[in-house]
Formats: sequence, structure tokens, C-alpha cells
Amino acid sequence: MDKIITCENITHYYGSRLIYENLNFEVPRGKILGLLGKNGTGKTTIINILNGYLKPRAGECRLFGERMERLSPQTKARVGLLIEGHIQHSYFNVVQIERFYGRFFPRWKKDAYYELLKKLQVSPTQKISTMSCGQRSQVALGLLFAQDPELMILDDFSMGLDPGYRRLFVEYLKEFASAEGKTVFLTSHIIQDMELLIDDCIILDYGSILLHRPTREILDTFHRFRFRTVRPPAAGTHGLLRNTEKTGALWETYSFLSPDDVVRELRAQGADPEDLTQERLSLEDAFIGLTGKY
Amino acid sequence: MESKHNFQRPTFTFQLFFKEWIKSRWALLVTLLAFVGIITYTFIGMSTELRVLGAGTVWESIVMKGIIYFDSLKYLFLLAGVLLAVVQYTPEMINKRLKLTLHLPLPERRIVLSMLLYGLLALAVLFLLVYGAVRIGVGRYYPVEITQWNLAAILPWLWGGIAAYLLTAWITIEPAWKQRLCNGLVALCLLRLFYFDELPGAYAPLLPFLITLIVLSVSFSFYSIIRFKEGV
Repeated sequence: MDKIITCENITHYYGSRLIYENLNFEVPRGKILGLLGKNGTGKTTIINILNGYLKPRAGECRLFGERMERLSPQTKARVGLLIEGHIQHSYFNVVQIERFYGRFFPRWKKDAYYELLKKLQVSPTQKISTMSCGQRSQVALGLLFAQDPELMILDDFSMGLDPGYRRLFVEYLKEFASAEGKTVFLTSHIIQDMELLIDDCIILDYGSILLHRPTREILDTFHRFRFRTVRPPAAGTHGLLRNTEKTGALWETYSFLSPDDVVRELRAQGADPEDLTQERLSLEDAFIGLTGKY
Repeated sequence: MESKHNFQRPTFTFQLFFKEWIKSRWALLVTLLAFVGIITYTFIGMSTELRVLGAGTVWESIVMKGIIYFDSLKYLFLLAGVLLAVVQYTPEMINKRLKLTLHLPLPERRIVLSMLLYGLLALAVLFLLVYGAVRIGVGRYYPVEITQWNLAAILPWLWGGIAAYLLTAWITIEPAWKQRLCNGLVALCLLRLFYFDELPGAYAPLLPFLITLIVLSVSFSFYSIIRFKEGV
């Protein structure tokens, strides 16, 4: 399978604080991969490393087979980049920014940009710096679609957007990604949006990857279990049970195991579970189940 | 389609110039007006002096006391360089927009060189206009020796403006505040070389050294870019 992104043995520290150690992952062509993690787990850091704007302590990433710090103009033209906060050259107006970017990219689709901008209540001479965050997100998205890149790297695309703009962004992105051969690598702190969009999911914990699996597989196999018990099990994450805790009169735990195996595991931890129920989870709940609330 | 696309096309430099022009046009206009204002004021003062004091007295004070008419321009060249660099590079550093600029499908060296080249050309045009105005204006009232005397006085300040532009670019692009302060101190020391109070023409033997310094300081911004890319 054609690998668009490869990261090998990435180790990085901020000062003495470890961000990752030996982080490895690949993104094949045509996949939408979401990077999830709590604040401070290094989501933006990995995007900066991928684009060559941060030198890791060790390891290397490649985009289309080229080393991250030495991307050729040809490869840069194949990568659409959205910076956290929908940052753009805000001193341009709507028309100027299209005119500026349009000449650089070989597959530029001017119509895609203006089609998206029709939805905004902005005049062609309005400066980007005077726009709301939602409007800026549409300008940024319009420019990305006009570029028609093979790979989009989006850092926290939902940041600062109201639900309407978020939904619009996700719908357009989904349409873009459905075209043959398009690959998307994204982060977002609103996991609800990711559930509608991503094929594969990487969940980062402090220092390493906690999980890298297809989203559907996580939703189908990872569950929350609620039960009563007189003798408490070990709280927190132990063995194959994750984030076990008491909430009200009931206990809850999260696991990829079947209900029978969960009961067996709880008994091994000294509990005597009764009335165990299994619940399907949204991606957000699964994320909480895997990483904990705090 | 992509294989036919020429990523080295010269028009891309003009596209980058367009971006720099949008950022800097108001600052350039303000600088131009400041120069026009000061030069006009100086010429009015010069002609009033000639009328009131008479040519003999004025001539004597120029020859005997070494009076320079364009003292007030001294730091304006420097301010023009600093202002242009600030308006060009500060927006790039706010929210790290420079990432977007460096992500353009061009070699990074060419992107940075184009941005610096724009600034140098804009200052060159501006300073040549000032130089020309001084030459023509002084030449109307005084003999060629006095004109040369005044031009020799402003020449190091003019080069100082160019150096100020390059050094401010270096400081602004630097990603770490601590290093920025160090760069600032080095820049102040280097700029001081252009502004010693010496008689016009005293700089003549030093000018090749100062111009070498300016050429070298083009490379300083590349060092800041390397640090930016390393995520310092």
C-alpha cells in the first residue's frame, strides 16, 4: 500500500519534559486519519514535525517519501496545510489572497474557492483580518480546496468554530476526501466531528501512542461496562480494564473484552460484579474511556 | 499537469513581491511623506537663510564651521529601514504565519531572498529619490563642492538605513525572545558604526567595510529561518 506519511522512532522533549519516545506510525493513501489526545500530548507538535517546522530530538518523518525538513517544491504543492486557528495572511482581502496563491499551485481551482465563499456574507474587498473565526475558516478551507492537494494536514480544524461552521467544514472535507487518492491527517479537540469523518484513529497518551486502529473497530469492540459490587476492584487502569471507577451507586469500567471476560477480570481483581451491563460508545466516550477524564 | 508546472518560474518572485507590497505599502507611503516633509522644510530653511543672511555669511558658515543641512535626515534613513522590516516580518511571526509562507511550493532560500530583495529594492528606490532630491535641490543654490559635501554626509546614514533593515529582519524573524535581545544588542553596535559624528567624507575609507557588513547581514536572516524551522 502507498504510504503518504511515515514517522519512524520520533522522540521529542520540551526541555526535560518527554513528549514522545519512539513514536511510529504510517498513513496510507486514501485514508482519513485523526490524531486524538488530551491537551499537552503533542498533537500540534507532531504536525509541526511532519511539516518540517520542528526538529525532533530523534527519528524522522517523511511525506511522499521525502524527509520532512527538506520538502521539494513539488511535494509542498501536493500538501495542503491548515494551521491551528485557521491562520492565514490576514492582511490580504478575499480576492487578493486567491490571486496570490493561485499562481503557485499547478492544480489550482479558482471556482472551488469562490463557490465556498458564496456562503459567506463578505465583500470581495473585505480584509481577512476583519472576518470572524468562522468566516476565516471558510477562507482557509476554500484555499485548501482550490489547491486540490493530495494530502491535507489540518491542525485543530474545529478550533473557534460554532456548530454550523464545524458541520460545514466536516461536510466539505468529507466530500473532498471521498475523491480518489485523497489523504487527510487531522487533529481536533472536538471528537464528535472526528467520528463523522475519520477512517483511522491514533490516540496519543503522554509519551506514546495509546491506540492506532480503525475508528469502526474501536466503536464496535470497545465498550463501557456498569456493575454493582460489594468488594471494590482496583480503581484506574489495570490489566485489560481501563479507567475503572465508582460513579454514584454503580461502578464502571471500559474494555475491549467481552462481558464474560470482563467479569472474569474483575473477579481476578477481587471484585464480585453483579448486574453487569455493556454499552456502545461514541468516539468521544471511547476516548474518555481510554485516556480517563483527567 | 503537475509535471509541466515550472516551480522555478520567475513570476513567483513577483507574487511574493505582491504579498510584501500589500503589507508594506502604507509604511512606505508614510516614510516617503516624512522624507518629503523634512527635505521640503530643509530647502525652505536654506533659501530663507540665503535671503536673510546673505550668500557670503552662509558660505562662510558652511566652509568654516562645516554645517550640514540635512542633519534631520540622519536617523530617518535608519527609521525607514527598521519600519519596513517590522511591517514586513512581524505579520509573518504573529501566529507563525511564516509557516504558510515557507510552505509555498518554492525553495525556501528563494522565498526568503525574495522577501529581503523586495525590502532592499523598496528602500533603494526611496533612498535614491531622497539622494536625487538633495543633489538637485542643493545644486540649485550652491556649487558642486557643497552639493558633494552634503551628499557625502548623508551617504553613510543611507547605508545605515539599509543595514537597519537587514538587521531588523534578522531580529524579527528570530523565534526566541532571549536570542532576539542578543541580536538586538549586536545590531545596535553594528548600526553605531554608520552614525559616528564625523565630518562628511570621513567615512569614505570605511564605506567598503560597511558595505561588506551589509552584504554579510543578508545571511543573518537565514540563520533565524533555520532556528525557526528547528522550532527553537
